[in-house]
Amino acid sequence: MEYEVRAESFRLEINENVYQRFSAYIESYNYNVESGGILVGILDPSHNSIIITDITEPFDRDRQTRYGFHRMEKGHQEKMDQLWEQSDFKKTYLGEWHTHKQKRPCPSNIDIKNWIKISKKNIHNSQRLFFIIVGTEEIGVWMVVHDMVKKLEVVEN
Amino acid sequence: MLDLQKEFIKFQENIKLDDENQKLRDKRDILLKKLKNTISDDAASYSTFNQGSYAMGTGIYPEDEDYDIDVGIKFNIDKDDYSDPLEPKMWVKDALDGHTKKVEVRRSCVTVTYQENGESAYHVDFAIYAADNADEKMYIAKGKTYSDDEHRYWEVSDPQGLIKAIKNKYSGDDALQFRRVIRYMKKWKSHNFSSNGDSAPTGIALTILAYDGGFSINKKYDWATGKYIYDDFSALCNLVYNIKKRFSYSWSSEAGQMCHTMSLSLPVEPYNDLFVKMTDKQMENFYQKINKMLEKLNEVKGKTKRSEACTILVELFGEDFPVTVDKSMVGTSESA
Repeated sequence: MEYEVRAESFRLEINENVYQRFSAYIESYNYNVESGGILVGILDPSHNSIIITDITEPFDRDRQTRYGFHRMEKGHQEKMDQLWEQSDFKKTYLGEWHTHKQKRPCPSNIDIKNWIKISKKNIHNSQRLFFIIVGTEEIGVWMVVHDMVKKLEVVEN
Repeated sequence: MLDLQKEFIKFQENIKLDDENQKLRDKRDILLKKLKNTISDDAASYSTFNQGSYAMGTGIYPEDEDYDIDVGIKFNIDKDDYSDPLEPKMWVKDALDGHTKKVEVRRSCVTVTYQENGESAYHVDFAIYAADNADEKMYIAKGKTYSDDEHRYWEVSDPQGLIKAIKNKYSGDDALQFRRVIRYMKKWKSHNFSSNGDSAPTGIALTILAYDGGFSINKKYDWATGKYIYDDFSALCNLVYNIKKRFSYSWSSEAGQMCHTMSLSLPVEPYNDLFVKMTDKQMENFYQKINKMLEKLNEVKGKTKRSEACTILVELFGEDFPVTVDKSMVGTSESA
């Protein structure tokens, strides 16, 4: 199954294997502590789409608490580099994901500030970055447009 | 400026149609075998050769249309003994008839079309020549079954001379760059013109534009490795710039407006104008598209991010151009 979210003139696709990882968190994770990682994928301008193909998951170094997830660089950067090389230099950083103990996840003020800060950095390959929160029943996808956080709508095939 | 050579090399691998294409080779060989076994006893003896872009090493998979392989059949006949050029064409047509659902005599060849899922997938074109003439030149048989006499004729032709000219223009790795850049232009054409025929320049016209002064080798000697480093992007920019310069701007009574046009001769017999089938308006459209391409290529020059440069190149060439990205810097992130 391909899971899609449509916004403006492009389409974000989340590959099945990534969606399954998120589903696994929804189904089995006890959410005693929050988890997270980075979103990795490819740009497909000829189809006006961006495809999330991989994610990273918590490394020991990351700080996982009941109400927070602090992701470090180490571990995630190495995994990113590895995916980049293995994909003939096509895979790129596309944003962040983390879990929330909420049925319908909603970003906290810290999340919003963090997302805006990350989006403002002019170092990214993709002009569009995405931020996913995995709740206990649903996942939500956001992006930052002109310093405003905007939720993407789900389009199911 | 970014080094995009790896991307262009990968792009070329994605689009090239060449001798490694086993399916086409097999179909050609099966047809040639069938021809040998079933051709009428009345037919003259013949030899065959590969011609067209396939033989020149400039073939690509076109978009939205079937692809082809061109074979030349040289009958050992004197054209003066065959006032009707349809006669040798029919030897071939009759021998291959029924091999696929569609075997037809076209103006310049006999075409065998293969279908996949009810659609034309690829075809083999047989061009028929008289090769044993008093003036030692070769002549191609022109005309269809119901053409009147005026449209049935022998035309002087030198397909092997053309292949030789293209193949011998450069040697070694230089020849590979020459062919790669021609393939980029052909792919650009396929991506930017609608597939219905005459509104676009032909593949051979684009090839001769490169051959006839438009293209020059772009490489640098690398002292560290003792090898030449090729720069296809710069060679392509230079070719597109030279094509643009070649147009002249004048009043077209045919179009009733000012138009950019040019003429370009085949470098071998019959030295025909390769743009003769395009109207002045279509030439103007070609010019506008070349101009647009040059603008886009210049835009690429200004990009520092690989993803942005590749995105523009995808616009020009389609999805066969790979979208690579620079190394990602993931930083840290705090969520709550």
